[in-house]
Amino acid sequence: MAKSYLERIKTELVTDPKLKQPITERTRQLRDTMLAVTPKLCSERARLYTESWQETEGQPTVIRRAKALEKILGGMSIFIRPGELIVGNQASDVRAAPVFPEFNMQFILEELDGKPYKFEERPGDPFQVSEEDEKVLREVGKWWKGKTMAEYKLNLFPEEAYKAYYEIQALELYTFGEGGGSGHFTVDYPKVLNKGMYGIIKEAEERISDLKIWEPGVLKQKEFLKAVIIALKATINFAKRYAVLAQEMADKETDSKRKAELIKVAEHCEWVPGNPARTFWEAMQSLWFAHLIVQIESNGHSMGYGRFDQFMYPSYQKDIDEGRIIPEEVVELLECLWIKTTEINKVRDWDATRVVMGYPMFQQLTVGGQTVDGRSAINDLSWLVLEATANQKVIQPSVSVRWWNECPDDFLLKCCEVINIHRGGQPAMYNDEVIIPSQMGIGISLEDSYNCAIEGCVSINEPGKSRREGVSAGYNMHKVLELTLFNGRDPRTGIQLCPNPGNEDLSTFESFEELMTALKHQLEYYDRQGIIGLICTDRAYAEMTPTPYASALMDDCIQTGKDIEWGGAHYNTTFLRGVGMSNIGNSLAAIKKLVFEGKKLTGAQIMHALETNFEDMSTTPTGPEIQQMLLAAPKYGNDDDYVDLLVKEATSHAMRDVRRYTSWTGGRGGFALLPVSQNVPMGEIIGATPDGRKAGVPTAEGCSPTRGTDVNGPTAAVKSVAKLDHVLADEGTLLNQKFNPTVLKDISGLRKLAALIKTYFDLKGMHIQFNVVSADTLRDAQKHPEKYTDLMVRVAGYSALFTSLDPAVQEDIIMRTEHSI
Amino acid sequence: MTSGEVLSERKQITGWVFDIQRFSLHDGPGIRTLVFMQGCPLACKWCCNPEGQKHRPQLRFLSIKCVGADKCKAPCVDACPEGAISLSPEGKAVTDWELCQSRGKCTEACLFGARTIAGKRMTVEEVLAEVEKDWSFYNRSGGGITVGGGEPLIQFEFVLALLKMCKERFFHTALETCGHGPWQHLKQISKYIDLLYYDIKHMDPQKHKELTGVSNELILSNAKRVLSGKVDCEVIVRIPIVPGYNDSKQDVGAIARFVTESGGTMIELLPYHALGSSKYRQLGIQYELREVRPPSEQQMEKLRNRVKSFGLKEMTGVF
Repeated sequence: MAKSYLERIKTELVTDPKLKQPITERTRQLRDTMLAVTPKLCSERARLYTESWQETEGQPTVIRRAKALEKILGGMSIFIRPGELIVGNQASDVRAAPVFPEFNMQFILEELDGKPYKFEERPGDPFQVSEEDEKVLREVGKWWKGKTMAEYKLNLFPEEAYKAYYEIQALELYTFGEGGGSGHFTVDYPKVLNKGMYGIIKEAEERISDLKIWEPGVLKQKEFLKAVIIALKATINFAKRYAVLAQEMADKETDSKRKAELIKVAEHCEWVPGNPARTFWEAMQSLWFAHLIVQIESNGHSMGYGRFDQFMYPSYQKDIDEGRIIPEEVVELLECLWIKTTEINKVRDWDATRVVMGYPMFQQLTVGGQTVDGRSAINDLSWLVLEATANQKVIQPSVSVRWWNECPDDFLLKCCEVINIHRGGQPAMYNDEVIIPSQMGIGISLEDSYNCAIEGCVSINEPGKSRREGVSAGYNMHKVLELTLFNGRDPRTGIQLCPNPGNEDLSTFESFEELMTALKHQLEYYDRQGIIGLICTDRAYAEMTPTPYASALMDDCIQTGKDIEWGGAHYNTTFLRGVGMSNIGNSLAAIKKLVFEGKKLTGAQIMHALETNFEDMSTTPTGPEIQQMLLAAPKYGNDDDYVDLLVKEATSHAMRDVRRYTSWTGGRGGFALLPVSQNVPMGEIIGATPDGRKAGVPTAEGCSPTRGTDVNGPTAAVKSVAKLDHVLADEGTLLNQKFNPTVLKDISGLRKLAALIKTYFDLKGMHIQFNVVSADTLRDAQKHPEKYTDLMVRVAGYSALFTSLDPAVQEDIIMRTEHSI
Repeated sequence: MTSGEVLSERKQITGWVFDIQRFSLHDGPGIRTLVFMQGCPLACKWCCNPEGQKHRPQLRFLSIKCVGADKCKAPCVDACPEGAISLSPEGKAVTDWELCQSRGKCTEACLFGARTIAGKRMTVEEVLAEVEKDWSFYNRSGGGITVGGGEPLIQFEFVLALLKMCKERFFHTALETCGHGPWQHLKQISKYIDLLYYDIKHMDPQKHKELTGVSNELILSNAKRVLSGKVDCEVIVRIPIVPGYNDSKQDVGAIARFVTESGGTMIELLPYHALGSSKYRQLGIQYELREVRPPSEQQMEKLRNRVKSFGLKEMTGVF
């Protein structure tokens, strides 16, 4: 008997990307028409929000936020694209980005004026702006001057932290846009599917009736709960607008099949998200509305789906058992969701865009892993998710897989198949054996740790329970090393915030231990400045931009009457994202080897060479010779303990140190070793360093080795990386590996990839992802972007369209070591 | 003598090794480490590891890494005891290969890595330490060590000790040989390998001598023994396919017939590539095959079919 579709997916591996295509003509059309669009800016949200804000002046902020959301959802344009089975749009056009005036309008006005680029002319991630939209945005912008969250936040910064962030730039918030919204949470989607918005409204109403508003602070809880009710009712009405539209379209539709579909869509939108979903298709629609409105309310990113294959499975299984759906239809619906998810967009200021290029939204979708009691959580839906990912080859959602030491090999091989087919780094692989203990290490319960999902680039999160801080700060640890070598004085700006203990610099350190002590001292200082900046930002969110809709779907906000921005989530953390670990370790190793052990150079010689960017020919040895001597010292990424353990020592020191802080919302300080693509701009503000790197060159990304210096192949590279204390990085670590497609041209190649992943995880690595594309292809795509409109690469924790990237980022990706034959 | 002492002696045997490459994927199952032994009785015109042909260190000069005298003070010139290095009018180092003795003094002087020595005397223990670094990858992938070269049989004692110790560690072991060595050596080593790659380049003794510098009689007589089950390991015959030299259907067919008749079952065809050609320049030797292009996919397909027509299992490998 012929194998069923599902059996084929589970047992047949292919290596030719052409063999996986959108499952139906419908999903091919929806995908291709979406990819062909150059995104626009949409001014509707900005206008509606501003009107509402003017109308509600004098009311509590949280209520005003809910009413503004109500106004947007009631007034924005809605549309249903030909063939869509799941409906709901974020802005007035496909992939158009809404504008959030309450956060930051200054950059919009500047970029409309062409500073530094007009939106259309940006070297990466351009946006079209119509005359009409421009007019609205300029008017709105004028009104918001002095009233935005970004401006408020800056006023909160103490002088020292301001200098650390904005002058020395050892820390940054620009990744999220100066004035991007709060993100990094996954709401409780199962609650929406099972209870419906009406059920949650009832919960809030009951809570209000129990409140003793005469007690201190309780009135504020009541305001919050009222805001929740306004917001949730608005979502139900938003869905009903689609029910009306779908019915109107059905009435006019002549094709009987499409007519029937539209009637179905109308029924779904009439019923969900207000009520519990009755079928898989309806659950997908309800999920999409719930997710979409998170994106419309908050200007954040990294709001993911959580453990999709777990919470969607009951309705899948029920429909399969009752013969309502077949796996092929499920894959078509998944593909529809993938397309909708890729349609979500966001405009960031140019600085932020450079850091997270490729229009990423970090909408993670997690499959696999274990159940709360430690059994395999893989089900048929997990397999179908992978299949849809291979078929669609789109940048969103970011599909991630949790592997654990009893994960069946056939499932891992399927993941490897999709990694090769997708070519854009999906799925990314995570190691349960490390991520679960990492969560327990910051006080998360065993049960919730087992239930964690991936969020953001590579961070970990407990869906419906954790707010991993509205923003995290990028932490230029490589810059901190430079400051250490110059006694805390920044060579670029001349600012000295924190001198070394003993006022030593590279020319006067008497021992390597002295240098390490100074580095740790500087790391502690900048850890603290980093946390202060985050506290200021979070306070601004709490005051200016509470998110009653998202909070309604998070534990324990309704019970405690607290918005997530006020600390209402069950778990709270704040975190720094360290960048440049490899550069620190390589620099330390070179100094240790050449100055303190080999006595081949003095600290003063190196310091002079750094100040002259290795270009002074009058010294002996010459600048270029000193650079070569430094480059010849041991380098991280080659399985050499001499340098690897130095990377580990510096990194773990910072990770442990941050734990002593508490965030504005009352959570623990955490750490991630991930860079997004900020390693490029971060490198620009650092002079030459003793790892032999010249001034301005990008720092290493994530916990990956410095590009081009891991010369012993991927096994040595992953062994080096695995030596770090990943379990201390409760917010994730990132290892990018680039593979030449020729390695994966047959099944035995996939097996080797699987073996590499398993071994990295045996060695207690946390996350690994692959770019399967040859350097030749990327070069060609630079020359002929028109031929490669859907060529994807994995930039950091997300996939991006290669041709949408800035040339400097493209170059960085090409330069990363390519592991081949 | 106790066995402990024997072991420690074996570990101290030294050999000439010109490269150790981790994460090799094409010379046996799984993820492997390749150990390249220096020295070869053959000198194939297409050899992609010419630095491994002589049984002694070889200087390699990478001209693109030479920054020239305006960036460094050209210490290489004074460092050479033979006076083989001079400066070109542009200030770049030039090596007189007639004079060069590959002593390596210049490699210590050059900070830019333009001068390196291929070939290092290593103990079995040192090589083993490198190979052991990836044991966890072998464990997960069924991989291990592949010893190639050059020709490993030349350094029989060393290779025997190395493979024996790898076997004691339960690594999968493979050997790549041209077959031109004493049968007893091959026989003895085969006890410690799981997989033998055995090269046959041509069936015609005269042609073979033209292409490789030696006749093929010893190679074929060893091959017969190997293929007829006188060794316990798995055997794969490899044929490098070099257009214009041995890529006709007749050439390949003759080898396939020989393999079948001798009792072999598997042939791997390795399409020629020119990736090694730049190494000749770095060693100061002429590369004769400059005009040769890799065989086309259609040509390879024809040859594969020819091999299969003898009932043999065919796989296409990487040179």
